[in-house]
Amino acid sequence: MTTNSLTLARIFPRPKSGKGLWGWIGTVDHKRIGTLYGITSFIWFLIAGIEALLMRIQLSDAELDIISPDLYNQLFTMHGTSMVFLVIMPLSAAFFNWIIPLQIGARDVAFPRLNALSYWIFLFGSLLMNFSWLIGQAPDGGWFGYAPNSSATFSPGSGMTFWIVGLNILGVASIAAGLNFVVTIVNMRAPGMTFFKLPIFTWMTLITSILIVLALPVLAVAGIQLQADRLFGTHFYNSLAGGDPVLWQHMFWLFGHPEVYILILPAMGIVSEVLPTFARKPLFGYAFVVFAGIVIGFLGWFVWSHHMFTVGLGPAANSAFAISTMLIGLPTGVKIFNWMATLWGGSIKFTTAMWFSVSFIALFTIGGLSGVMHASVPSDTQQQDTYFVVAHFHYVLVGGALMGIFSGIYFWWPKAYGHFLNEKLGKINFWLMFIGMNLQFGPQHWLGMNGMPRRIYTYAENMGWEPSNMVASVGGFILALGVLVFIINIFVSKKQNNIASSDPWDGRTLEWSIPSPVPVYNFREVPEVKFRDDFWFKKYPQTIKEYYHDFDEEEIKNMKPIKPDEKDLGENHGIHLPDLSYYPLILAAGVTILAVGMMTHFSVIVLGGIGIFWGAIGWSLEPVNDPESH
Amino acid sequence: MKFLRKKLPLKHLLLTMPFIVISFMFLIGCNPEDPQSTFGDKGPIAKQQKDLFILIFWVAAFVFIAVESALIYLLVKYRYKNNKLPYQSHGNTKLEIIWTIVPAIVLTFVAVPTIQVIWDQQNGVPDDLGEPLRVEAIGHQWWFEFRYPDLEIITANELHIPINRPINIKLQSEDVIHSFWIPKLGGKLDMVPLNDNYMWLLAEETGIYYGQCAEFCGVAHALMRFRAIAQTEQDFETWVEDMRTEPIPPQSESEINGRNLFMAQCSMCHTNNSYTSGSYIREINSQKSRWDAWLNDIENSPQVSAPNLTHFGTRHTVGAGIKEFSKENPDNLIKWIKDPSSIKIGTRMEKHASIYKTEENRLTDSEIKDISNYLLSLKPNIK
Repeated sequence: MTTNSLTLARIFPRPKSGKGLWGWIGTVDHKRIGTLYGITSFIWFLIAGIEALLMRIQLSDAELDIISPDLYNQLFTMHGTSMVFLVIMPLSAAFFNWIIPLQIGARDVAFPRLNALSYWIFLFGSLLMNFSWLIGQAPDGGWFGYAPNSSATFSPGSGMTFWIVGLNILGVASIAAGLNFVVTIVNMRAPGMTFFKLPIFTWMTLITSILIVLALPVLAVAGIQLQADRLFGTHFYNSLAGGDPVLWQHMFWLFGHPEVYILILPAMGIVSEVLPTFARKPLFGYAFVVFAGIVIGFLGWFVWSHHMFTVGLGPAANSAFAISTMLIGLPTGVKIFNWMATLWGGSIKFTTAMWFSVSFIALFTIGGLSGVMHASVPSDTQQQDTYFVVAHFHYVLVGGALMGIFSGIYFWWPKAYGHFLNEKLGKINFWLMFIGMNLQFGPQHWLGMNGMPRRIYTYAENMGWEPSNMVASVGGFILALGVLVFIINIFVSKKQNNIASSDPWDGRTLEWSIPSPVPVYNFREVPEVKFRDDFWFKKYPQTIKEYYHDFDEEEIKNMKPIKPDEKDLGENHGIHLPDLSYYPLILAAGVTILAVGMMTHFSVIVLGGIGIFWGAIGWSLEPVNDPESH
Repeated sequence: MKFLRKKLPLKHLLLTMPFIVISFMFLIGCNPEDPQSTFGDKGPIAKQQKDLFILIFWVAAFVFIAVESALIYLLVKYRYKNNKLPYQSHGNTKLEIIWTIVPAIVLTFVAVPTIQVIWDQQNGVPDDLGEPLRVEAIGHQWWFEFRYPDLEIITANELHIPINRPINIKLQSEDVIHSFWIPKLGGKLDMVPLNDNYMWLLAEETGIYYGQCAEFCGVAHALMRFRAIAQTEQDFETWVEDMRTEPIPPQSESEINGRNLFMAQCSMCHTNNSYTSGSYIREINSQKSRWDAWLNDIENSPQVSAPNLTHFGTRHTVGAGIKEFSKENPDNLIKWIKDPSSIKIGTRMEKHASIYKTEENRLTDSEIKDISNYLLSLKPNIK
């Protein structure tokens, strides 16, 4: 029955064991894919960070001539594009992959091979986009790619073609991953885990994934249109032929604003796990935090034009979007207050993870408040496209998203790899990043108010911008030093091998009930869920009454406090898991080659088509497990 | 875990240090005298925007201090002391409703003035301010063209305006999106091809105000600047008359030689005689045909859009507000003619004018000096 697939598969025999390089290449294990996402996006994080440092060197004083304007434009375009699409989104995806199945008591995601496909497409798309550096024509039209500056007339090189083709490929990866996690969270929850018992990180992942599934197609449509403009001479956005450049902005920000929440909601989810764990209290007002997340995800669709307050949409549209933008501050404020109330009455342990989460609250508040400032249109017309905006969104994305992600790394590292990250180095890492980012982005607020526009590679001497820029550049290097300490920490910690138990932080959710590092099968037995923070209340049944006032006392008396599972069953676990597969990799390669073909030659498109056909047919005929393995 | 049992020493209050540093830096950062400071407002639009910002700033500062100090208080007060489990509270609906509604009320204090000012500023020039002066500002890669349709005057990179009279500016772009911004007079508005925008400004004090393109527009975006020269009504009238007066004829041999070189090498793109009647519409048409020529042959077109140089001798800057020059110190002008990209990268003049293309076409230093002398001599011939 499966002769066909087996014939195809014999070209590359299906990998049988997870060992070695081929085990990683053929993997469908959510944990390994999570690690792959993490490593890949961390490397892009370093590259995009170096791009930022080069810009900070060039701007550290007036009239410097270290980096040419051409290169500078490529640097800020690639820095922005990379940090959004190749760093924060996939770093979040690393957490989705690692944590979601563990938090909901599942053995893997709903579609393990689709998951692998998402990763490989992401990898190839990111490589393709950055390949443009090697041929000396990196994209230079900004991460927003405004028409008509991104058209073939005004950006004649191949840079913006790499950009738009790369984004279109990455979009496929994101949409597939988004769908995968929506289905996983809806369908794969352990028995008893109703929606209102989901851990908050899982909730935020669900909302993020829905946003990805809805928002990325908008970018895909706009991207295909721009690609057609550039490659085939259509006129969607080409104003020289009557196309509408404002339409591009609407399309881009209709994607772009939900994207902001795609970037920040996962970090909010991480913080909502870390704060309760180290305050040793449940999250204050679970329902409010969940609904605030849903409201943010919903309202996020009605604020896109606040990126366009100076485009000239008129007073009516500007008023409407000013109000909607202020409204979205409310659920965000609710979250901040609820996190602080979580600390109230707690017993706070200051681990590195906790410091990062606390700094999330402190810094995100600043970014949120400057966001409300931007909502006031007339005042914003002075701030739009200045360094004030740069400061604002870096407080949100570095102070918020990145601090949240680092918190998550320190928090879940012992779970994932079985040993702690060194806390001493962790604290150094944290303080360097915290001080560095404030020095870098703090002064940019008043640089903006002092009239310094964004995206300028140089500035005149008499503007009064030198001191703040110098401080910002020094801050940038301190921040980078913090990241360097983190890298050192990874290696030092691996060497020290400070072994972590199953439940090193006295955790609250299911992932802490299983061994560290997580066995390949995750849960020996699929758990039955009774409570929010299920693991905590089963560890400490005496506290159930405090949270669930109406809970039956008799039942509590009969409950024996449970202990985490400390034993990995090893190779012979006997638990049914999907076999490895190469087809996701083949299909992803086909998609990428096809995209390259659009930029080069028709024959390459055919080659890519063959790859896609081979991958898709092989995939659909391939059984989850090969018959001979049973 | 040893570190978990450690108590939190009060030295962690050092958390507050960065915030103190930040507030201090904020204090030293706001110098309204800086040329593009939004706090140095010189007109009602910029002032209203600044006042709105300051109102929101204080609201935000209040929230900021409240949140951050509460956070620090919580961290210190509820730090780990003993192993006793905290009360596992699920929340408090009343409290949560309060901290949803209170921010909503605070936000209305921001929202109401915001909406008022939007309609004040973005709904056309108010009738009670008198007859506005109409100006058309056109963005080009990478310079600004200014037209006065009622006065039939065209100039570039230096916008002359009378004080205490509203200026109604029509914003257009020929190529990509630019943004028109004079921080001391008001916030920015984009110049979008095929989508004309209108804004109005009013200067209350005479002076030279810096402007800069604020939307990324290509390689020389950082070097696309301009100046607004606000004059008394009387001085402005004089300037208008001057712009309609013929220039002083070239006097010295150098100036005459410069004129001949200019006519041969520069005049197909740079008009310098828009003082005659009918020259306004002629220049608009010429500018259009230069643009079409460039579009037809982006690599080799002999013509490109270029700033009008009528009465150039009265200007203060070259390269779109980049470098200053004067009759006494024309170094920057000479440098600009000799090697434009040393002042401004990517300029179309260098790419398309024949004098930069081959060595034999290249002007000698004395020829450049002649052109510079001629351009500096271009001043209205006031009897």
